[in-house]
Amino acid sequence: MDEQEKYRATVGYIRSKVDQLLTLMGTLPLRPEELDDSTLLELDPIGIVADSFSQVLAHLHDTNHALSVAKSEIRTILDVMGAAVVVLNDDNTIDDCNRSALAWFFDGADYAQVVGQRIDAICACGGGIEALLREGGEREREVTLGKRHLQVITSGIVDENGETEKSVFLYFDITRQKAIEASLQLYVKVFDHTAEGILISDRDNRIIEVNDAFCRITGYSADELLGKTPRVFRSGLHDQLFYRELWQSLREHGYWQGEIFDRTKAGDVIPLLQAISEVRDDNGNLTHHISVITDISSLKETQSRLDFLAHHDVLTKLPNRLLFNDRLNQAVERGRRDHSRFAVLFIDLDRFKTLNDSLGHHVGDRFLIEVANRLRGLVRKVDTVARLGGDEFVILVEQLSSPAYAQQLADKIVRGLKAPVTIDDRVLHIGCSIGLTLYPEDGEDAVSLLRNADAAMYRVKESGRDGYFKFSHDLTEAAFEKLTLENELRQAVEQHELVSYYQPIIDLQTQQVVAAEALLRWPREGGFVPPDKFIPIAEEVKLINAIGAQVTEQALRQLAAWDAAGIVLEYISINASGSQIFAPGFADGLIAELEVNGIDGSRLQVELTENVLMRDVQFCNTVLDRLRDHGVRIAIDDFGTGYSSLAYLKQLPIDTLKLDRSFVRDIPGDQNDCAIARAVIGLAGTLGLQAVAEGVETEDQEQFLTEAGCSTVQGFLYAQALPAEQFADYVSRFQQSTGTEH
Amino acid sequence: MNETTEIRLDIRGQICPSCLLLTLKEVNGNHQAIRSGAAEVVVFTDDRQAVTTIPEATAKMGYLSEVAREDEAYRIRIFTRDTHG
Repeated sequence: MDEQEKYRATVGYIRSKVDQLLTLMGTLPLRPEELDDSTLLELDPIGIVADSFSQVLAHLHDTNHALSVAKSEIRTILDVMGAAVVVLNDDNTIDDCNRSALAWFFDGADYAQVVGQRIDAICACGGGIEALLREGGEREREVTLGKRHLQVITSGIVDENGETEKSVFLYFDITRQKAIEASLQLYVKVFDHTAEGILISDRDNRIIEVNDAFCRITGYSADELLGKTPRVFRSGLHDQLFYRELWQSLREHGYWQGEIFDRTKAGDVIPLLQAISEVRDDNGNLTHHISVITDISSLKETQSRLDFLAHHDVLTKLPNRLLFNDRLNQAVERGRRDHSRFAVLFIDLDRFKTLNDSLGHHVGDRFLIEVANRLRGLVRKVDTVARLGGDEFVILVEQLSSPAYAQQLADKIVRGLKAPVTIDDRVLHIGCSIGLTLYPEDGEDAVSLLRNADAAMYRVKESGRDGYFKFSHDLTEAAFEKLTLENELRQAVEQHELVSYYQPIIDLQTQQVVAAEALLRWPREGGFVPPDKFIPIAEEVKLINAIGAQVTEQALRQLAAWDAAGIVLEYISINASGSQIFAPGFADGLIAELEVNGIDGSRLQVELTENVLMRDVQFCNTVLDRLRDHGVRIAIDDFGTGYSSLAYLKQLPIDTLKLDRSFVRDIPGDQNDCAIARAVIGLAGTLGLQAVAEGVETEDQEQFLTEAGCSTVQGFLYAQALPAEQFADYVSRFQQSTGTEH
Repeated sequence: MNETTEIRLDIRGQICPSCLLLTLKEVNGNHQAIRSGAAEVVVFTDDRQAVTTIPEATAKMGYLSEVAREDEAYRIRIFTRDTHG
């Protein structure tokens, strides 16, 4: 090869290498017609391209470095973000994952252990992820992994042909969010189902939320309330001050609680227990008000019912003692302040106990209700009728124009309660006794006004019931004396201090002491309390039966003792009061006592007054029949002073009529008394009864009685009532004197 | 801010690949100044193909470029950071 050829070959080689380099640089090859060989060599394209290539390499190096930084930047971001990231290849091998993914899904394995592995081989959750994969495309869903709730976002990386090359899974841990959601749902349930009404309003107090209970209580629907203010509930029953204080409490304490009356949609006023709280944000700015209400209507009703029960008598629905005392104290206060006057009427039903005992409590209760209704009907609205208990009622008569009004009212009540009451076809008669006090003259405080009215009432009872009595201060002394007497009598009975004295009953024809009348004596303060003073008290305080039993016992024991001493009487006579006769077991008691002392029934006489017999003739008849079966003698005492119904003389088993001393006293001077005495003695004779004259004090009286046909007598002319020993002496002396010594 | 020196290269009448080689020669000779931002090369060419080849080649070397029409030619600016930005 010559030099020329070598040159051309070299240039050709250069051209081809330059073209190769130019192609790499992205441009066209050199064409010889555009660049001749000498210019080519002068231009030095290889040198130029080589220089450029060294710059390309430097640039590539820089780019690689930047990429590497960017990659570690991305890894750092992936690792610190709160989500787990897994990138899968289309063959289900793991291409990449971050730190959270290693911890959550791969049990904390190293990155190197995970990458390149098949997901289903190393992760229990692989199945779920595969399913997501199969569905393809971008998906958002929630999965549960153990206790962890995850939200998964899937996106695919596709190649230029649209084929999915890789899938990126982003897992966000929403466990806490789920817990908050569940807790919120719980709060919603509480809000929806609580029995308390709840209202939430904004800072301007516009209602933004109410629960069902609130709607139920107020009658509004939620739609009707939203946007409004709670003013719509105002009942108009509270003044501005009430609301001002409410808001002030809210401002100062952030809280208010109290009872409030609101108005429902229907217009009803309901009592509510309400609690209002302010809600403030972190900066202390008011954001909401929360109001919780409880309907306390039924509570209020119960409360007022309890209040009513505490202050009223259940049976009659009248105020009770507690409420009455309260009203009375108020009246006293008012009286002191403005000098107003008022009256207290203390009412006690007469014979109520008998009615209750004989007909039962249910009749008694209905009777009391009727009484309460009558009393209500008789008083004015301003007056207070109360039941203190049992058969005791009391009336506070206020705004008294004159004292006379109180007395008129008392009179009206006495007459009103006298009218018969019909219960179960039974016509019942009852009356009442009323004691009356006026403020201030009869007492300046509640206690003395009531006590004095009570004392005045007792005065009515003593004087025969069915009436009223105005208190006077003399009465207090009498009441005090009576109380003292009651207590001392009780003591005397307990200590057996009452003693029987015996008055001889003499047969003038035979000049013999034929019998003795036992008369009770109560020794007190060096003298004797007369029977007509203490017997009524004994009856009232229910001591009479005990006293009666003591008298019978003493008398029969005494009769037996005299028998033993040779002083033989035909019989001994004892007095029995109404309470005794009507007490159950009276006859049995007498009969038992006769047996104990071994005395025949015919040697005991029981004296009864006409009034006692008349109270219940039929019942008396039963008792007397039973006594007569045992031979006991029955005498009518004080004959002629009571009802003197001749009919019962025939009906009852009677042996003796005792002519009352009041008819004996003025004979033979008083013609009327003489006529009465003769008539009684004649009547006794006709009916075959014995007549005994009481209170014989003169020989003229004795002579008249003998001539009239009454030869059995007793009186001071012969002897007063004597202690047992003196009686024995008297009989001995009387017998010895053969009737001439008196 | 430092003033950027503009290195003008008028290769009007030339066609590729000469255009590219001449431009690369100019860039190679000033590569340090261009990279530091002290200089930039502005090429004037009327070869349409150069508008593509020059930006592609200089991009591989790590330079930015922009092309504008100016009079009857193209103005190609080669630089490292956008000093106009």
